[in-house]
Amino acid sequence: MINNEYLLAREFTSRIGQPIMFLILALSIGLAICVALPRLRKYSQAAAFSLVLLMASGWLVLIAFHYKISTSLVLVDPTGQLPSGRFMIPVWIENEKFFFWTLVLGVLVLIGRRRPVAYQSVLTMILAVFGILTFFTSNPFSAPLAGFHADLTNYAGVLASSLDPMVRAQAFHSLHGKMVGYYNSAYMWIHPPMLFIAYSTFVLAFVGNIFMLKKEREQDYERLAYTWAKPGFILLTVGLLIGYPWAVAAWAGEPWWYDPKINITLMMWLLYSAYLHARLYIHRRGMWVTTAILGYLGFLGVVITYLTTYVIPGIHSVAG
Amino acid sequence: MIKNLNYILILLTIFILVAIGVIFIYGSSYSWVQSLQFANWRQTVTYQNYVSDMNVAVLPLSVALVILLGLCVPKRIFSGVALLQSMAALLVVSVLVVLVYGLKPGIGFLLITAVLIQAVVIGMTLVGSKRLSYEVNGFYLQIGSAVLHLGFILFVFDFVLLGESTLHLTVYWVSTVLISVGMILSFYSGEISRLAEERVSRR
Repeated sequence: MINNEYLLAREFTSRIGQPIMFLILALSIGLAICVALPRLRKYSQAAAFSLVLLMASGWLVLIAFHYKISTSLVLVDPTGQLPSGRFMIPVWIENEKFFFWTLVLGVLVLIGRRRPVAYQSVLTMILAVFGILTFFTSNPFSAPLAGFHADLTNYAGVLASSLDPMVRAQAFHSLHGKMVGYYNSAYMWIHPPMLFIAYSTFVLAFVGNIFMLKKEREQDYERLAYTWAKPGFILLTVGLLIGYPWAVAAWAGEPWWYDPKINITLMMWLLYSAYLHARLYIHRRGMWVTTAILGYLGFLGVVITYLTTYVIPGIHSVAG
Repeated sequence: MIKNLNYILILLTIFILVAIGVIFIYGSSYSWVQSLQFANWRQTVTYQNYVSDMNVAVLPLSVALVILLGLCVPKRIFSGVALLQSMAALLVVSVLVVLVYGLKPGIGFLLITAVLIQAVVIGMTLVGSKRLSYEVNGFYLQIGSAVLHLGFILFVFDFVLLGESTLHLTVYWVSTVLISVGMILSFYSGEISRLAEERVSRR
């Protein structure tokens, strides 16, 4: 099933993408320096714009690779019982997740109007840190879709090493199940981007919450935090709600109640819900700080939720 | 007391939401420790015990949240002493149902009553009734808030009473739509109101 067209596309993606990633690293470091040094701050907007443009071009390369996968790879049932299928993989799986998150954050950093200078500076610095982290922890071009490639290689290995029809059929059903339930799932096209766009808006809300703690009663920061927490909360809630029916179907028969990732995600949702409730009485004594801290903790929840996938083993994790 | 009732209800809600969040952190930490000691721990009795313990820890707070959600509904229709009386009556009858028929029917009664009252609230909001009391002003904000709360009540009702039913997913999707629409109307009421006014003035 693995053919030259796919292998060449994968190699091409890596060869084109790696220089883009080095440029992203360089621009991110440059952006951080521009923000840190007041003398260079006037260049930060241009640097941020270039970074986002570069990330967008990288993402286009990934889209082209995914398109190539859909046209070049065909999964054929060795028993002939199921129709052959193609992979329609969304562009936010594996290492592409954090890349996508950074790209969305970059767009949100750029589209801001009439934001306080200090707020925009902190936000731009966070974007620079995200760019650096993307290079070191989630480079989608060093080994494009490594997990998917491993699935294909394992399947091809079984087909090459065994003539036993049972073994071949078992290997096919394993990959076919993953294709239908994960790689090609409509849910994968909707649920992750909703959550990653939500996470990006929560970064903007978080910066507002930081300034709320620093500058008591500064309405601008409170307004900014709330403005960005709103779309984030809507996307997070709807994204999670959409996830439940999928989980029921995909994890049928598997123990997934109180899975660590699900626990932490719900904790994050509960904290943002508490934040939005607290905000209703923000002018009461003590509620300004309470609201800011809840927003702050909510974002801590976002970070922990993301890390849980890679650290704590579970049905919704890649750890272990 | 009555003047501060909304505020107290909100503070209680915040406290419960954070408390459930803390339990979830504990649950994840416990899972982590277990998975470090034994990779397949989810296939063991320890996992079953963990789920039971989590249920025991989360249930009282979830019930408290449901009660708060149920109590928050009459405040739109009633005010002053009548509000306290209606809340107390709803609570007492729910407790009686729990004592006679069990926890699920008791919570079910509270939720069904809340759904019905909330449906009346939405109807009254739609026709512009002056009898309703909201903490917030604006038609879209009020209708959004009412629809959002109805969605949440229906969501909890679905999991409490219809978890094993064939209607479970249908009601789930209905509550999802209500929650989504309610949130959009609540959070963007100003923008929606402006758009509506512009359309009217263009005509």
